[in-house]
Amino acid sequence: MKQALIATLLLGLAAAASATEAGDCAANKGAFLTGTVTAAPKFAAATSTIQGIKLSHTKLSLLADQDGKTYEVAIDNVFATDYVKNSSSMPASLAAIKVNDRLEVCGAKYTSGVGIHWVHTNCGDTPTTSAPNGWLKKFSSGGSLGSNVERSQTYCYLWN
Amino acid sequence: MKAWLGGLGAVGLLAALGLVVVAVPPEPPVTEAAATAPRPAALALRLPPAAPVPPRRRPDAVPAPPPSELDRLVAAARQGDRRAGYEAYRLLSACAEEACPGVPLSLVNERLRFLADAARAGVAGAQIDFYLEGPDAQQAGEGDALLAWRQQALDGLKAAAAQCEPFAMGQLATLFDAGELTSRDAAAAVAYAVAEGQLRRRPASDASLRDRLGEPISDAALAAARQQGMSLAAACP
Repeated sequence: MKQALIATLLLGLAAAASATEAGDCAANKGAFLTGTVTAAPKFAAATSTIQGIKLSHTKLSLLADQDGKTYEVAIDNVFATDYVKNSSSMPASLAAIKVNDRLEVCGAKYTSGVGIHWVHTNCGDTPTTSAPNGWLKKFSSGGSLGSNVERSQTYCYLWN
Repeated sequence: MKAWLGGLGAVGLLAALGLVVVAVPPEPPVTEAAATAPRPAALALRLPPAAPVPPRRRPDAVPAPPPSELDRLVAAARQGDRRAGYEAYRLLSACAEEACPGVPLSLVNERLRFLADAARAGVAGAQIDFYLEGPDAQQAGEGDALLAWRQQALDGLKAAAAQCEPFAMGQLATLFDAGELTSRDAAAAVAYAVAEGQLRRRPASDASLRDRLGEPISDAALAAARQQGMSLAAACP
């Protein structure tokens, strides 16, 4: 009985935290998803380069809690705090994501197909639905939510 | 337009490397009749007696090409000119990605020594590139060497920031936030972020500063760090 009460309390706290996060994401003009990783991250080579910086991505699949769909998550490597300039491999923080990990993302959904991108800082600009102030956070095995791994603003100057 | 500019850049790089191939119109083919044709008398009078030319040797009449810009920079770098060394590093970096004809691999590898020397000597661009190059494979595998690289990289970025390089400031903000190269320091991260914003004429809001931190920071600590960042920026022209 006591254990059931504690479990219920924890679930309630998690739901409340998730609601807060969803609210923050909406305030930042983003689309909010939580879910389970179903396909491990893969490096996607840059298709564009700005001022010599190759804008590569990391892509993974996420089974969303909200609608049961599997989303492609396209993550810009350049905003990872451990991004290595023009590396042809994933930043370590993104490569560490494994199948069955739980993630929370705030970004812009694809306009065609099932996917989400822009899961990163918008460099302090006023957010819009197509350019939200997004994030990617990982849940620990204990259920606590980590910080945004896509928060680096080192390369924001490329767009200013 | 961009492709055109890129082409110009490539030509400039090749020119600096001394690798430009000058387009020379092809000589008309020598026909058997022309080869055996008698020389006009006037021309024959003005020509000196023909010196014997050893087979397979270029006639001395063709001047040796002038030393290329790369040769000049490398020579200067080897004599201790650290700015020349940094410029040589930059030229040779292109050859690290794609082999440059006539540039030996040993020289391409030597660029990293030029870079490290220039960084130690205080060349701001070199201090940034020293960090961006990362430790080499040997350093990555050895504790002391890796520690030494981390220390030089951190010191170099700080020195470049002190020379008002906004990229160095932004990179330090991220490194202090993430705890890479050094232990986590949210106040230092904020200070460098504020300074970078000032130099780029994009002042950072409190919300934006908090947004780039992995851990929360109190209002008082944020305000103090902001002041520190403003002081850093104020020291720059």
